[in-house]
Amino acid sequence: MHESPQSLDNFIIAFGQFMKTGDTEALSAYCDNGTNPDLFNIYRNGFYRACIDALASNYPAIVALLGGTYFRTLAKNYVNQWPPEVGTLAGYGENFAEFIELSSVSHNLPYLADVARLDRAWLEVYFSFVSTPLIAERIAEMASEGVEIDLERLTLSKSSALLSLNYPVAEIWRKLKDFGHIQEVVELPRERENILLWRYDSEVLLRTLQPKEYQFFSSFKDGLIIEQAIELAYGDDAELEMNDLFLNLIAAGLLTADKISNQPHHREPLS
Amino acid sequence: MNSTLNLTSGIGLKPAHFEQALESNDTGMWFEVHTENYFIDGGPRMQDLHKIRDRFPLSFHGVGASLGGLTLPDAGHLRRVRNLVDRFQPELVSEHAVWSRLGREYFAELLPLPRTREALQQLIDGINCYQEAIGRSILIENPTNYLSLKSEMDEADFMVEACQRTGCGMLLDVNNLYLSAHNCGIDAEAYIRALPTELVGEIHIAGYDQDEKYGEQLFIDSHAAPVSNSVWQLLDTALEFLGPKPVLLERDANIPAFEVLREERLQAHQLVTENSHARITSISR
Repeated sequence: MHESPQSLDNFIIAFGQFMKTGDTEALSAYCDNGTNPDLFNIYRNGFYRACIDALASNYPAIVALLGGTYFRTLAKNYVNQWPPEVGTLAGYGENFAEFIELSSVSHNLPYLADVARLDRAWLEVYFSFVSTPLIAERIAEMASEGVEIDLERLTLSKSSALLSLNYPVAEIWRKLKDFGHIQEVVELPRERENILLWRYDSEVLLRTLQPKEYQFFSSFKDGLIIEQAIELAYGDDAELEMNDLFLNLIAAGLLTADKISNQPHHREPLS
Repeated sequence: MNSTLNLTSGIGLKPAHFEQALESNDTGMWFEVHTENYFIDGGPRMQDLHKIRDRFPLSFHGVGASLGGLTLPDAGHLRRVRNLVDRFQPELVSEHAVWSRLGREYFAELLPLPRTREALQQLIDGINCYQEAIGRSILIENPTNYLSLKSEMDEADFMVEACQRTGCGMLLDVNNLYLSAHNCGIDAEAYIRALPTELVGEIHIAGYDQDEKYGEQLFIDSHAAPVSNSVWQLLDTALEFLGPKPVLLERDANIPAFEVLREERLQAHQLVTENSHARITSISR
């Protein structure tokens, strides 16, 4: 025999409140006779587990640095402060680096937030749009046809990220990512480190940048024409740098010109 | 659902298994992925899924639409599902008869609905909204029950009516049903026999674990273990009654080597094939 229930709106609102507080009192009224309201905790535990597992998957270097137990405590606090808002956990943890920076764990490991920023950038680059790199063969072919490349149509690959970090963590992050641990927790000086991450084929690559290089990439990424970005970064040396930089960008697959086809049969004339 | 009749048993595909999956030559093999794991802009995971789609039938299984929520499924969420469906043209698209969103918060868990007329209408509205947004019909999966809520209907009736009033089909998760029977006393065989056979478009099987606190009194739908003997038996019962249906092996935690899943999937393939032969023999008599 089924009993008459109370309104659905009230049930869902009470359930939502329980998910935040763990207090089952308001939900008891919706239980069938003899049902233990403590069982609602199965759902609440499942929610935390899913969120924490997603954070662990998205921030592997932080897990490796802190260890699983401590990480889960930190992650649970994050979930309470920044619960998911979109119906997927694929990119969950957008504010994790800033959260770490403000938490007490940063007192002992002040560079932890920067490690999280690298984990985040890796994730975003890995799942970013596919940009078709301008390949050397296509450029050679254009040169042989006497076609000049329109510099205004060149852009930095969308599968890239630029970071200016407070601590030089790239080396530690790479070890954590590759080996899952570092020999010992080290102290790092507060010293800015500029990083470029980009996806080449299926791999995400990392390079530390000198200040002038960072300035170039930064303004090029922001939309400045490549020539102007080089001039801004290198000043009087711009002409000297132009050729090498251009070749390096091509070799790294970092230069894209999506309007310039790599396919000879379908290419459009360059203006 | 005629296009799926040649499928036997498939595997829930994880990115770690893409390479081995692509090399598989097993008869009747197909793959299913969680829709929301592909709410990404691009990259290797997306490219690999295209390669899988070029070789095998594919199914998208959603976990985050909140079909039974107080508000209709989020429009942005549905747009992303639509993009994936248009791009990959999956054989099957499925979701859950649950809720997971309240206001701005997403609870990332399959939360239960009381089986009331009001909740049924809300679920129906959610299914209609989802199907309209993606331009095709879906399957909805029965939940795992951990406790009994005050209700007006049996779950089988609730699911069947939701399907019949929206034109969607049902994804019968045999593991969920086994756990609901164990945890809440639902009669699993009566449940299966209450389902119109043509309504069921897919079956799920998975492993479960005992709850840490309540032990063998409460089984949890963990997807972290091999399929239990009891669930294999219930699958056999379901196939015997429903006829051959695509069966999907789910594994989301403690994920073993692809070969191990392949072996387990073979057992399901054999059950589907045997039940198919038995049905043909029975009809021809």
